[in-house]
Amino acid sequence: MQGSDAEASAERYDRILHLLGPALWRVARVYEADAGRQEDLFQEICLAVWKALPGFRGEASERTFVFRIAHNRGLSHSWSRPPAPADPRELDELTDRAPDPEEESLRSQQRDHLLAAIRRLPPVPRQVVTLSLEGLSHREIAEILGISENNVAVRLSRARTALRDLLMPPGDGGVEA
Amino acid sequence: MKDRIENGEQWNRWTTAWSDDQHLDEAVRSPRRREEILRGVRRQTALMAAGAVAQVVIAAGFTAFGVLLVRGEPGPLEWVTALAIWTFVAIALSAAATGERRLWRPAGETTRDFVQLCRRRLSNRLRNLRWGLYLLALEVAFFVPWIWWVIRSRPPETVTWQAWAGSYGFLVLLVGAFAVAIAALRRRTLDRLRALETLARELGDL
Repeated sequence: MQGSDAEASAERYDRILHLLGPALWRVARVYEADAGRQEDLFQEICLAVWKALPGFRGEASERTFVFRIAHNRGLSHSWSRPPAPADPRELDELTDRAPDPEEESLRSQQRDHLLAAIRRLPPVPRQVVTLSLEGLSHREIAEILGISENNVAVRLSRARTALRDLLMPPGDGGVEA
Repeated sequence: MKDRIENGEQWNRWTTAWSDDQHLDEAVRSPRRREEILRGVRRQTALMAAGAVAQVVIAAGFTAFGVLLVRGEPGPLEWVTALAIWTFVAIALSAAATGERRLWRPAGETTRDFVQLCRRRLSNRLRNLRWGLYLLALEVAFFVPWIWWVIRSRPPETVTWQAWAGSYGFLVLLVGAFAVAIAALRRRTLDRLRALETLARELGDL
Protein backbone atom coordinates (compact mmCIF):
# COMPACT_ATOMS: atom_id res chain seq x y z
CA MET A 1 0.00 0.00 0.00
CA GLN A 2 2.77 2.37 1.02
CA GLY A 3 4.74 1.36 -2.04
CA SER A 4 1.88 2.26 -4.37
CA ASP A 5 1.41 5.59 -2.56
CA ALA A 6 5.07 6.39 -3.05
CA GLU A 7 4.81 5.37 -6.68
CA ALA A 8 1.74 7.56 -7.24
CA SER A 9 3.51 10.43 -5.53
CA ALA A 10 6.59 9.99 -7.72
CA GLU A 11 4.44 9.85 -10.86
CA ARG A 12 2.59 12.98 -9.85
CA TYR A 13 5.84 14.77 -9.16
CA ASP A 14 7.24 13.65 -12.49
CA ARG A 15 4.14 14.96 -14.26
CA ILE A 16 4.41 18.32 -12.49
CA LEU A 17 8.06 18.54 -13.38
CA HIS A 18 7.25 17.80 -17.01
CA LEU A 19 4.47 20.41 -17.13
CA LEU A 20 5.98 23.13 -14.97
CA GLY A 21 9.72 22.38 -14.95
CA PRO A 22 10.63 25.16 -17.42
CA ALA A 23 8.40 27.63 -15.53
CA LEU A 24 10.07 26.68 -12.24
CA TRP A 25 13.44 27.21 -13.85
CA ARG A 26 12.33 30.68 -14.95
CA VAL A 27 11.24 31.44 -11.37
CA ALA A 28 14.77 30.58 -10.26
CA ARG A 29 16.17 32.92 -12.92
CA VAL A 30 13.91 35.75 -11.78
CA TYR A 31 15.15 35.55 -8.18
CA GLU A 32 18.80 34.83 -8.88
CA ALA A 33 21.03 36.42 -11.51
CA ASP A 34 24.06 34.22 -10.97
CA ALA A 35 23.99 31.15 -13.22
CA GLY A 36 25.53 28.79 -10.65
CA ARG A 37 23.15 29.87 -7.92
CA GLN A 38 20.20 29.58 -10.31
CA GLU A 39 20.82 25.86 -10.47
CA ASP A 40 20.94 25.67 -6.66
CA LEU A 41 17.73 27.65 -6.32
CA PHE A 42 16.03 25.49 -8.95
CA GLN A 43 17.01 22.40 -6.94
CA GLU A 44 15.70 24.04 -3.76
CA ILE A 45 12.39 24.79 -5.47
CA CYS A 46 12.13 21.22 -6.77
CA LEU A 47 12.84 19.90 -3.28
CA ALA A 48 10.25 22.22 -1.73
CA VAL A 49 7.61 21.07 -4.24
CA TRP A 50 8.47 17.43 -3.54
CA LYS A 51 8.15 18.00 0.20
CA ALA A 52 4.92 19.96 -0.09
CA LEU A 53 3.02 17.68 -2.47
CA PRO A 54 1.77 15.19 0.16
CA GLY A 55 0.12 18.13 1.94
CA PHE A 56 -1.76 19.27 -1.18
CA ARG A 57 -5.49 18.97 -0.47
CA GLY A 58 -6.84 20.55 -3.62
CA GLU A 59 -7.92 23.87 -2.05
CA ALA A 60 -6.30 25.57 -5.04
CA SER A 61 -5.29 24.22 -8.44
CA GLU A 62 -2.11 22.18 -8.56
CA ARG A 63 -0.47 24.83 -10.74
CA THR A 64 -1.32 27.59 -8.26
CA PHE A 65 -0.01 25.47 -5.40
CA VAL A 66 3.28 24.78 -7.15
CA PHE A 67 3.80 28.43 -8.10
CA ARG A 68 3.11 29.49 -4.51
CA ILE A 69 5.84 27.20 -3.26
CA ALA A 70 8.27 28.24 -5.98
CA HIS A 71 7.82 31.96 -5.39
CA ASN A 72 7.94 31.60 -1.61
CA ARG A 73 11.20 29.73 -1.97
CA GLY A 74 12.48 32.39 -4.38
CA LEU A 75 11.60 35.14 -1.90
CA SER A 76 13.34 33.30 0.95
CA HIS A 77 16.35 32.91 -1.28
CA SER A 78 16.45 36.62 -2.06
CA TRP A 79 16.31 37.48 1.67
CA SER A 80 18.95 35.02 2.70
CA ARG A 81 21.31 35.93 -0.10
CA PRO A 82 21.22 39.62 -0.88
CA PRO A 83 21.60 40.15 -4.62
CA ALA A 84 24.76 41.61 -6.04
CA PRO A 85 24.39 45.37 -6.46
CA ALA A 86 22.54 46.10 -9.70
CA ASP A 87 24.93 46.95 -12.45
CA PRO A 88 23.48 49.88 -14.39
CA ARG A 89 25.35 48.68 -17.48
CA GLU A 90 23.55 45.34 -17.44
CA LEU A 91 20.60 46.52 -19.50
CA ASP A 92 22.73 48.76 -21.71
CA GLU A 93 25.05 45.93 -22.57
CA LEU A 94 22.11 43.81 -23.55
CA THR A 95 20.66 46.68 -25.53
CA ASP A 96 23.92 47.35 -27.32
CA ARG A 97 24.26 43.83 -28.62
CA ALA A 98 24.20 43.65 -32.36
CA PRO A 99 20.98 42.02 -33.51
CA ASP A 100 21.57 38.46 -34.55
CA PRO A 101 19.93 37.33 -37.74
CA GLU A 102 19.11 33.99 -36.20
CA GLU A 103 15.58 34.14 -34.82
CA GLU A 104 16.25 31.99 -31.75
CA SER A 105 19.27 34.02 -30.84
CA LEU A 106 17.28 37.23 -31.16
CA ARG A 107 14.54 35.78 -29.00
CA SER A 108 17.10 34.71 -26.45
CA GLN A 109 18.46 38.25 -26.41
CA GLN A 110 14.95 39.63 -25.89
CA ARG A 111 14.40 37.17 -23.09
CA ASP A 112 17.64 38.11 -21.33
CA HIS A 113 16.77 41.76 -21.74
CA LEU A 114 13.31 41.22 -20.28
CA LEU A 115 14.67 39.09 -17.44
CA ALA A 116 17.25 41.73 -16.49
CA ALA A 117 14.48 44.34 -16.34
CA ILE A 118 12.15 42.09 -14.30
CA ARG A 119 14.90 41.45 -11.75
CA ARG A 120 15.02 45.18 -11.12
CA LEU A 121 11.37 45.34 -10.11
CA PRO A 122 10.42 45.19 -6.41
CA PRO A 123 9.27 41.73 -5.23
CA VAL A 124 5.50 42.07 -5.63
CA PRO A 125 5.47 43.63 -9.13
CA ARG A 126 8.14 41.11 -10.09
CA GLN A 127 5.93 38.28 -8.94
CA VAL A 128 2.82 39.65 -10.65
CA VAL A 129 4.61 40.19 -13.97
CA THR A 130 6.32 36.80 -13.91
CA LEU A 131 3.10 34.95 -13.19
CA SER A 132 1.26 36.88 -15.84
CA LEU A 133 3.98 36.12 -18.39
CA GLU A 134 3.53 32.44 -17.50
CA GLY A 135 -0.07 32.80 -18.63
CA LEU A 136 -1.81 32.72 -15.26
CA SER A 137 -5.12 34.52 -14.97
CA HIS A 138 -5.70 37.42 -12.58
CA ARG A 139 -7.67 35.05 -10.37
CA GLU A 140 -4.83 32.56 -10.18
CA ILE A 141 -2.31 35.31 -9.43
CA ALA A 142 -4.63 36.63 -6.71
CA GLU A 143 -4.76 33.12 -5.22
CA ILE A 144 -0.99 32.92 -5.20
CA LEU A 145 -0.35 36.31 -3.64
CA GLY A 146 -3.35 36.37 -1.33
CA ILE A 147 -4.68 39.68 -2.65
CA SER A 148 -7.86 40.59 -4.57
CA GLU A 149 -8.21 40.26 -8.34
CA ASN A 150 -8.70 44.02 -8.68
CA ASN A 151 -5.51 44.54 -6.77
CA VAL A 152 -3.72 42.20 -9.17
CA ALA A 153 -5.03 44.14 -12.18
CA VAL A 154 -3.83 47.46 -10.73
CA ARG A 155 -0.43 46.07 -9.77
CA LEU A 156 0.04 44.38 -13.11
CA SER A 157 -0.73 47.57 -14.96
CA ARG A 158 1.78 49.50 -12.83
CA ALA A 159 4.37 46.77 -13.16
CA ARG A 160 4.02 46.74 -16.96
CA THR A 161 4.54 50.49 -17.04
CA ALA A 162 7.61 50.16 -14.81
CA LEU A 163 8.91 47.38 -17.02
CA ARG A 164 8.37 49.45 -20.15
CA ASP A 165 10.24 52.36 -18.55
CA LEU A 166 13.10 50.06 -17.67
CA LEU A 167 13.26 48.59 -21.14
CA MET A 168 12.83 51.85 -22.97
CA PRO A 169 14.47 54.73 -21.10
CA PRO A 170 12.87 58.09 -21.96
CA GLY A 171 14.57 60.01 -24.73
CA ASP A 172 16.43 56.91 -25.79
CA GLY A 173 13.94 55.74 -28.32
CA GLY A 174 14.66 52.39 -26.75
CA VAL A 175 15.39 49.00 -28.08
CA GLU A 176 12.36 46.86 -27.71
CA ALA A 177 12.58 43.62 -25.91
CA MET B 1 4.77 52.81 -28.71
CA LYS B 2 2.59 53.50 -25.67
CA ASP B 3 -0.49 52.74 -27.73
CA ARG B 4 0.97 49.51 -28.85
CA ILE B 5 1.72 48.53 -25.30
CA GLU B 6 -1.77 49.50 -24.24
CA ASN B 7 -3.14 47.34 -27.02
CA GLY B 8 -1.20 44.48 -25.58
CA GLU B 9 0.93 43.94 -28.65
CA GLN B 10 4.16 44.57 -26.78
CA TRP B 11 2.97 42.44 -23.91
CA ASN B 12 2.24 39.57 -26.28
CA ARG B 13 5.74 39.84 -27.69
CA TRP B 14 7.17 39.75 -24.18
CA THR B 15 5.03 36.71 -23.35
CA THR B 16 6.28 34.93 -26.45
CA ALA B 17 9.90 35.83 -25.76
CA TRP B 18 9.42 34.72 -22.16
CA SER B 19 8.01 31.27 -22.62
CA ASP B 20 9.11 30.28 -26.10
CA ASP B 21 12.43 28.83 -25.05
CA GLN B 22 12.69 25.50 -26.77
CA HIS B 23 16.23 25.00 -25.54
CA LEU B 24 15.18 25.36 -21.90
CA ASP B 25 12.08 23.21 -22.39
CA GLU B 26 14.17 20.42 -23.83
CA ALA B 27 16.86 20.84 -21.19
CA VAL B 28 14.45 20.63 -18.24
CA ARG B 29 12.10 18.04 -19.74
CA SER B 30 14.69 15.61 -21.06
CA PRO B 31 14.55 12.26 -19.21
CA ARG B 32 18.22 12.61 -18.25
CA ARG B 33 17.64 16.04 -16.73
CA ARG B 34 14.53 14.91 -14.88
CA GLU B 35 16.43 11.96 -13.48
CA GLU B 36 19.14 14.40 -12.40
CA ILE B 37 16.56 16.60 -10.66
CA LEU B 38 15.01 13.63 -8.89
CA ARG B 39 18.46 12.45 -7.82
CA GLY B 40 19.19 15.94 -6.47
CA VAL B 41 15.89 15.97 -4.57
CA ARG B 42 16.61 12.55 -3.07
CA ARG B 43 20.13 13.67 -2.12
CA GLN B 44 18.88 16.86 -0.47
CA THR B 45 16.14 14.94 1.36
CA ALA B 46 18.79 12.55 2.68
CA LEU B 47 21.02 15.46 3.70
CA MET B 48 18.16 17.16 5.56
CA ALA B 49 17.33 13.91 7.34
CA ALA B 50 21.01 13.36 8.18
CA GLY B 51 21.21 16.93 9.52
CA ALA B 52 18.19 16.35 11.75
CA VAL B 53 19.61 13.03 13.00
CA ALA B 54 23.00 14.68 13.63
CA GLN B 55 21.31 17.38 15.71
CA VAL B 56 19.58 14.77 17.84
CA VAL B 57 22.74 12.66 18.21
CA ILE B 58 24.83 15.68 19.25
CA ALA B 59 22.13 16.77 21.71
CA ALA B 60 21.95 13.23 23.12
CA GLY B 61 25.75 13.16 23.43
CA PHE B 62 25.83 16.40 25.40
CA THR B 63 22.93 15.28 27.60
CA ALA B 64 24.68 11.98 28.33
CA PHE B 65 27.86 13.86 29.16
CA GLY B 66 25.89 15.90 31.70
CA VAL B 67 24.48 12.68 33.20
CA LEU B 68 28.00 11.23 33.47
CA LEU B 69 29.13 14.34 35.32
CA VAL B 70 26.55 13.96 38.07
CA ARG B 71 26.97 10.20 38.56
CA GLY B 72 28.49 9.03 41.83
CA GLU B 73 28.96 11.85 44.31
CA PRO B 74 28.85 15.08 42.37
CA GLY B 75 29.97 18.36 43.93
CA PRO B 76 28.44 21.79 43.22
CA LEU B 77 30.82 22.32 40.25
CA GLU B 78 29.57 19.13 38.52
CA TRP B 79 25.92 20.02 39.13
CA VAL B 80 26.35 23.54 37.82
CA THR B 81 28.19 22.31 34.70
CA ALA B 82 25.61 19.60 34.03
CA LEU B 83 22.71 22.03 34.47
CA ALA B 84 24.41 24.52 32.13
CA ILE B 85 24.84 21.79 29.49
CA TRP B 86 21.22 20.62 29.73
CA THR B 87 19.91 24.18 29.56
CA PHE B 88 22.05 24.85 26.50
CA VAL B 89 20.85 21.64 24.77
CA ALA B 90 17.19 22.43 25.51
CA ILE B 91 17.51 25.97 24.17
CA ALA B 92 19.42 24.87 21.04
CA LEU B 93 16.93 22.09 20.24
CA SER B 94 13.86 24.26 20.72
CA ALA B 95 15.38 27.05 18.59
CA ALA B 96 16.21 24.54 15.81
CA ALA B 97 12.71 23.06 15.94
CA THR B 98 11.03 26.49 15.80
CA GLY B 99 13.21 27.69 12.97
CA GLU B 100 12.87 24.68 10.72
CA ARG B 101 9.29 23.60 11.27
CA ARG B 102 7.93 25.08 8.06
CA LEU B 103 11.16 24.76 6.11
CA TRP B 104 11.00 21.03 6.44
CA ARG B 105 7.59 20.76 4.78
CA PRO B 106 6.39 23.85 2.94
CA ALA B 107 2.61 24.21 3.02
CA GLY B 108 2.02 26.22 -0.16
CA GLU B 109 0.84 29.36 1.61
CA THR B 110 -0.09 32.50 -0.29
CA THR B 111 2.67 35.10 -0.48
CA ARG B 112 0.79 37.19 2.06
CA ASP B 113 0.54 34.31 4.57
CA PHE B 114 4.12 33.32 3.89
CA VAL B 115 5.34 36.85 4.62
CA GLN B 116 3.37 36.85 7.88
CA LEU B 117 4.82 33.47 8.80
CA CYS B 118 8.36 34.66 8.10
CA ARG B 119 7.82 37.82 10.11
CA ARG B 120 6.56 35.77 13.04
CA ARG B 121 9.53 33.45 12.71
CA LEU B 122 11.99 36.35 12.67
CA SER B 123 10.25 38.05 15.59
CA ASN B 124 10.56 34.79 17.52
CA ARG B 125 14.22 34.66 16.63
CA LEU B 126 14.72 38.21 17.89
CA ARG B 127 12.95 37.25 21.11
CA ASN B 128 15.19 34.17 21.44
CA LEU B 129 18.26 36.31 20.87
CA ARG B 130 17.10 38.73 23.53
CA TRP B 131 16.67 35.81 25.94
CA GLY B 132 20.11 34.58 24.87
CA LEU B 133 21.56 37.92 25.98
CA TYR B 134 19.71 37.74 29.31
CA LEU B 135 21.03 34.22 29.79
CA LEU B 136 24.53 35.40 28.99
CA ALA B 137 24.22 38.21 31.53
CA LEU B 138 22.93 35.72 34.08
CA GLU B 139 25.89 33.45 33.40
CA VAL B 140 28.32 36.33 33.87
CA ALA B 141 26.57 37.34 37.08
CA PHE B 142 26.91 33.77 38.30
CA PHE B 143 30.41 32.89 37.08
CA VAL B 144 32.24 36.04 38.21
CA PRO B 145 31.67 35.38 41.94
CA TRP B 146 31.82 31.61 41.36
CA ILE B 147 35.32 31.80 39.86
CA TRP B 148 36.36 34.15 42.66
CA TRP B 149 35.05 31.68 45.24
CA VAL B 150 36.71 28.64 43.58
CA ILE B 151 40.11 30.31 43.31
CA ARG B 152 39.99 31.79 46.82
CA SER B 153 39.12 28.43 48.32
CA ARG B 154 42.36 26.90 46.97
CA PRO B 155 45.55 26.75 49.06
CA PRO B 156 47.08 30.26 49.04
CA GLU B 157 50.31 29.12 47.31
CA THR B 158 48.34 28.00 44.21
CA VAL B 159 46.51 31.32 43.86
CA THR B 160 48.68 33.05 41.29
CA TRP B 161 47.87 35.90 38.91
CA GLN B 162 47.92 33.34 36.09
CA ALA B 163 45.05 31.48 37.75
CA TRP B 164 42.99 34.70 37.90
CA ALA B 165 43.91 35.75 34.38
CA GLY B 166 43.26 32.28 32.94
CA SER B 167 39.85 31.88 34.53
CA TYR B 168 38.52 35.38 33.97
CA GLY B 169 40.23 35.63 30.56
CA PHE B 170 38.46 32.48 29.42
CA LEU B 171 35.16 33.85 30.68
CA VAL B 172 35.71 37.16 28.88
CA LEU B 173 36.62 35.38 25.64
CA LEU B 174 33.63 33.05 25.82
CA VAL B 175 31.15 35.78 26.66
CA GLY B 176 32.68 38.09 24.04
CA ALA B 177 32.41 35.44 21.32
CA PHE B 178 28.76 34.74 22.19
CA ALA B 179 27.94 38.44 22.33
CA VAL B 180 29.51 39.06 18.91
CA ALA B 181 27.65 36.08 17.41
CA ILE B 182 24.34 37.23 18.91
CA ALA B 183 24.89 40.80 17.66
CA ALA B 184 25.70 39.58 14.13
CA LEU B 185 22.66 37.31 14.03
CA ARG B 186 20.47 40.09 15.38
CA ARG B 187 21.67 42.50 12.69
CA ARG B 188 20.98 39.93 9.95
CA THR B 189 17.56 39.17 11.40
CA LEU B 190 16.67 42.87 11.55
CA ASP B 191 17.77 43.33 7.91
CA ARG B 192 15.52 40.48 6.83
CA LEU B 193 12.68 41.77 8.94
CA ARG B 194 12.99 45.16 7.25
CA ALA B 195 12.86 43.49 3.80
CA LEU B 196 9.77 41.56 4.90
CA GLU B 197 8.09 44.67 6.21
CA THR B 198 8.65 46.37 2.87
CA LEU B 199 7.04 43.38 1.19
CA ALA B 200 4.15 43.36 3.65
CA ARG B 201 3.64 47.05 2.90
CA GLU B 202 3.62 46.29 -0.84
CA LEU B 203 0.97 43.66 -0.20
CA GLY B 204 -1.05 46.19 1.74
CA ASP B 205 -0.59 44.58 5.16
CA LEU B 206 1.20 47.46 6.91
